Amino acid sequence: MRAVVRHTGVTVRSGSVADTPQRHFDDVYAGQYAVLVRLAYTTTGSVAAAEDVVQDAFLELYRRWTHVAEPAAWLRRAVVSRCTSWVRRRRLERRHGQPRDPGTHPPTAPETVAVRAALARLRPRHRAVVFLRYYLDLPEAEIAAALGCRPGTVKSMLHRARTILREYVDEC
Amino acid sequence: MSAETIRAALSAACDDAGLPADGAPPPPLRTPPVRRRWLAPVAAAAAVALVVALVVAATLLPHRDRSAPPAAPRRSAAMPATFAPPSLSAASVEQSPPGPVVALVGYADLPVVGDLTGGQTLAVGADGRTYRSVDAWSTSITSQLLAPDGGSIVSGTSQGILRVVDTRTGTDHEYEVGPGAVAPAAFSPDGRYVAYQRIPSGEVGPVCDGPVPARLLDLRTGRTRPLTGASGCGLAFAPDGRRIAAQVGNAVVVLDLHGHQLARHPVSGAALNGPHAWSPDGRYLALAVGALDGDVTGFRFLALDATDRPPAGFRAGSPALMGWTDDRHVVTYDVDRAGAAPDAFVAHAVDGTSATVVSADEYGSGTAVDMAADLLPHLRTVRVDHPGYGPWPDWAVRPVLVALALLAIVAAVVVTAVRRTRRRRRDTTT
Repeated sequence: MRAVVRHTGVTVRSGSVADTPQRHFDDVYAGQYAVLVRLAYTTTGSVAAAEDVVQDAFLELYRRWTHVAEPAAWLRRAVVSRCTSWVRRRRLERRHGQPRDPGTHPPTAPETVAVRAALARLRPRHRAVVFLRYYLDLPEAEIAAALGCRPGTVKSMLHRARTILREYVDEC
Repeated sequence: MSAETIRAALSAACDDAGLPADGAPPPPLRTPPVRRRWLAPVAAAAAVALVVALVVAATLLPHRDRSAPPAAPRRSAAMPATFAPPSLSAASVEQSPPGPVVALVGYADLPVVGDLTGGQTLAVGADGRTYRSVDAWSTSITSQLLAPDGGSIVSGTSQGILRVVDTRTGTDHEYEVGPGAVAPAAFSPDGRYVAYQRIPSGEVGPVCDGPVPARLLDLRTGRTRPLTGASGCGLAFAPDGRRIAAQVGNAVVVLDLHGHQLARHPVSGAALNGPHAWSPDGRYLALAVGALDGDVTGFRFLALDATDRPPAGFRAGSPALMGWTDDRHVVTYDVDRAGAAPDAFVAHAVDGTSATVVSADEYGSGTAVDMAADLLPHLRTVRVDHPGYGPWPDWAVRPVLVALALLAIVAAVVVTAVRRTRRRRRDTTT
């Protein structure tokens, strides 16, 4: 299922990709899209929001293409930042009584219930740290770059996330 | 809980959500073509270059082309129906030559700054709407005169210099005729000679009492010579340019240009009035009644030929005679002592039968300095809604341009710094 991306004034261009920078962008898109959607989904818990966030990040990357040296790292940070903002807005909407977005309910698998429930107890940035560390297997320095924090902070966040996950899984 | 367990759980959760781990992603959304990044720096560079060019142009303003051919001598001249006020924004004659000038009008005060600037003299172009300032030496000028054809203005200074400015080209020429302060008194009809006086310090015009001899300056050669017989005020050239009249005590004397007395006419209760006293036909001299007492109440006329009968004269609060429109009419600058009517240039019949306002000076503080004698016979009055003060004077333009240039430089530095900071942050992000 693919979410409808809402970007006023943004046009879809389906023209030639013959020029090298464009081809490079497409390569980055093809190589990073899926994993970034997974990162965003892990952080937000919503497929639609994850796809929105990732598309939005790629749009921004497209605008800044000539100034971004490391697209993959830049995208990770952009996605985590957008996910954090999305979650914050989501909380505010709930607090002010906005109707809750039904979102997407993936089919529930028994083996994932415990972990997903444990992840739901983590803060969004903690979920992002867990994903970057255990799913992408990134070193702490790159995680710190993606989150815009120090490596020591990453260590602390990982430790706390692991503790919470362990406690919850043990309870289950 | 091992890392592998967490990774497997994360992967499974994503798989259950229908998120493929790989495969072809949906087509990317794209914005319009990437903005051309070179446009901003190029535009900024162009703006800076423009500002620099403006500054350079402002620096070179005095060298602007003044060699343009002067306008053909105008045989018709217009006076504004109402004089415009003095203005700080008026360009100078040197900066923007107005062509032939029909009148000089002096103002004691300028708006806002008042006496601080020493007032302003405005030259009114023969089109009746062009105003230019003649106040470059405002604090040291003793008196000013307009050449008969309106083509030049001579200013006397307290430093002993007679400065002649060409109203067609803006060029000026200085004649050192001191020592001490000098005051021009009369232009010869052909514009070649200027009669002037060396005056005591503190005086602002020709001296009417005391033995202050006049001198003659030849503008072609720059040489001067004394007019030994002319030691009073009210110097006036004859229409033929070969004689000059002067008020000496209680008499009007007529001299040749070497100072030899040709005639002497005793007068009482009146005095020769200004450089335009001689009538165009050479028969009469205008005398200001009450001038010796400092309170002019009108004009009467002296016939140079004893057999000739002079005109009756007229009453007017006229401190100065501006010239003759023909043999029977003069223009004076009248001041209504009661304040009921504005000061005005008025054409009077010499026999007192008519008086017609040519131009009104509603601003009151104006004082007519001189008019171009040759242009008076062709004088007409025009209504001017928008007086032309010319381009902004150099002293006002330069600081503005320099300030704009500095502002542009500061803005460019700030913008560059901001852009650099943002770029650094972005690089740090990536």
